[in-house]
Amino acid sequence: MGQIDSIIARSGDSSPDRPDARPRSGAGRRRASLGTVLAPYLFVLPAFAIVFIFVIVAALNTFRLAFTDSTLLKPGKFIGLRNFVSIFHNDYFWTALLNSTLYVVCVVPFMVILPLILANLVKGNSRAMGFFRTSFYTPVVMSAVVVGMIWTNLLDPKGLVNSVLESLHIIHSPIPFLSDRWLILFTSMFITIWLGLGYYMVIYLTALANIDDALYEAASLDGAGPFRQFIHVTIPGVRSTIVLIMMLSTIAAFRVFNEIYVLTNGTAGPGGEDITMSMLIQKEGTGIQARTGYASALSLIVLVVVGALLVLQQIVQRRGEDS
Amino acid sequence: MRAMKKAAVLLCATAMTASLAACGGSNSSNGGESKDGKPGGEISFQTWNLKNDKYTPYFKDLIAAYEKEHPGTTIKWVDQPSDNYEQKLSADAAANSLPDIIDAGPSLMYGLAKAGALMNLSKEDPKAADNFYKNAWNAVTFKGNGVEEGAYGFPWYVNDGPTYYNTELMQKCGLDPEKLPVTWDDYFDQANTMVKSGCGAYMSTMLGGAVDDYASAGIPIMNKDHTKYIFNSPEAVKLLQRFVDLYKDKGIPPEALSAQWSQQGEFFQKGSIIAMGGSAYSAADFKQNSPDLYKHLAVGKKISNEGKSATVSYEMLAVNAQTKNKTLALDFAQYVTNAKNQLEFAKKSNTFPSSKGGLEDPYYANIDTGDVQGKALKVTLEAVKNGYSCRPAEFTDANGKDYLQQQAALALQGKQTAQEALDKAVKYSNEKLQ
Repeated sequence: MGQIDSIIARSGDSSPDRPDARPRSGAGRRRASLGTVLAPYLFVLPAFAIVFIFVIVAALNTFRLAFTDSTLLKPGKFIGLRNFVSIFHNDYFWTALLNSTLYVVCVVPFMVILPLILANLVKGNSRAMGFFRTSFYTPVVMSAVVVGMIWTNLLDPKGLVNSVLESLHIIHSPIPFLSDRWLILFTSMFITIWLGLGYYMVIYLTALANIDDALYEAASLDGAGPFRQFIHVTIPGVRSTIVLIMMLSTIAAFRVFNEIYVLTNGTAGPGGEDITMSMLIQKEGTGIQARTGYASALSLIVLVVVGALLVLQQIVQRRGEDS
Repeated sequence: MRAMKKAAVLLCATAMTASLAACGGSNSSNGGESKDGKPGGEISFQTWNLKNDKYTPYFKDLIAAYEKEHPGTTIKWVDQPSDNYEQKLSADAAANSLPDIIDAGPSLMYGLAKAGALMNLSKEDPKAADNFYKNAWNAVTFKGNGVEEGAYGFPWYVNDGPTYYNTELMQKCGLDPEKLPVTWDDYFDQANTMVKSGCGAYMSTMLGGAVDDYASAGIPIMNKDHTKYIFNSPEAVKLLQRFVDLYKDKGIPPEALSAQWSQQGEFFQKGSIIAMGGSAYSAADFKQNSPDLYKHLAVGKKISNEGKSATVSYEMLAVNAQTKNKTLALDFAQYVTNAKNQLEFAKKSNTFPSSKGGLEDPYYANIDTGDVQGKALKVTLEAVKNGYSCRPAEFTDANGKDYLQQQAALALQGKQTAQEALDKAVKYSNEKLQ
């Protein structure tokens, strides 16, 4: 028995005035201390078991499969880097990589800035603000299929948008929102931003609530207007949230799937030129003749690219903080 | 401790991203096969999208009749929804838990046959071929690229359809509704007349993106032993070039470059296209949903230089190679697909039977061609009798079909030549054969 244990034991034995104090045997004390040590691990165990089986084992399996020619129904054999060579010779891979990267470049800045502005506008406890907060959040809870149907109907050559523009004589022929490669991509980005605004706005609202009002009062006394208060108080106050949202939206943007899939009915647009990395993985990795080895290699590439983007963001952020 | 935390977080993040592609109990009965060679015990019989008010009574009666004729047998009928049926079959096959009898089309069955999951009926029941029309048996026979040559299912119900024309739009575009196009030459001649008329309509959504287009022009899709695709011949390039020219002349709608089947119907009902392919019973839908259009409908054969449809689709019933009750599974699959039961089901489901003699039944001989629907049924009957399925079972959506459509679309947009498009499609499809 260690010194601390013996002190605890002695103090326990010599506390007759405590109503719950009972003489304990040595084994009971050991059980209590063992339970105390194990308790946190037992609480974590169910979650860990689920993550271990369905995430870690699956991920390790993906690593293994990436170097095999396995299909869904055949285990395949080790083929070294042949899947990666094949991927780098696949035109659609480069198209998918370009589209997914463009998605990150175009969507992430809007996802970081617009929700912050929105959150700043709708913070407060009035009923009007509550109404606007709910309105902006509504798209988040909508099904991707419903959103896709709404937008495909709106943007159809004979849909509302083209009809209104034609009736106002702004255009003479319908804008090919759903049949032009770049317009499909940019329309999809617009929908992603529209869908994500409310979600990130709520995260910003939480961060804004933690900024001390005294800072705004001090800035106001120093003569700062709303814009300067936003730049010098709000932005520094939510800097860590900005970084978080930047990371979350980067991962989500690079893995975009639903919006383009629904807009193009799963065809990835004319000539398949709107395909993204996730769509390519889905195409290769599902179905009876799924090439699971090839799809796993694609997943590893996504992992490396997303990881590289996150590291790059961290470096840029640290340099910004240092400067 | 901090380093350990970082490592754990990194491991979790890595795992969650990398597990994107790692997503992948037995349905098969455990048997009771009788030892005297007669059917006995229990099997599972899986259909898809057939358990509803229309078909459930048929299958319940069918199963009850079989069980009565064969005492000691139990048929467990399961039906899967049509959504994600391929994923369901994939998961069952990967878990080695396919049902004893499986209902699907040849393109789904091919993958299962290639993986050795289906019984080769040409070996198990060599005489079965005599019970079915030759083209139906050919459609369920697979070979090449690691697949032992043979039929991997009993042909079941069959379908095809005519081409529907909007006669009012034809007249507006300077075309004669009495002279519907029959060959590809007719089709492109009429399309050019339509373009020159400036009527603002399109001919159809066909764009040279389907193997049907080439097969119906007499162009072979694969070599005879099914070891490689050959649809990039000069004749095929010439045909695709005609579509490219028609697209440039605004004879094909831009939306068709990525359009789905359902959108073709929308285009036709909106009066944007002159012609569309449909099923024999599309006429009934037009009558109900577009009565004005129905008044101006004409029915023609599928465009073909060979005088026969290349787009007949076949459904088949396969037997699980791992079934523990082979006798009962084979016997019941034959029972469902025998001439009598096929005919009864075909009448109920507005399809056609694949068993010999079925198409000669008085039910089909006495079709009333007085209205559009009757005419459509008659054209489809001829298509099913004389036509075939040109699409190789191995040419699935993922293994070439979608890619050909995409390459053709790029050629139409002028982003590559017709030759490049077909060369790429053939190369891609050949790689997928391995």
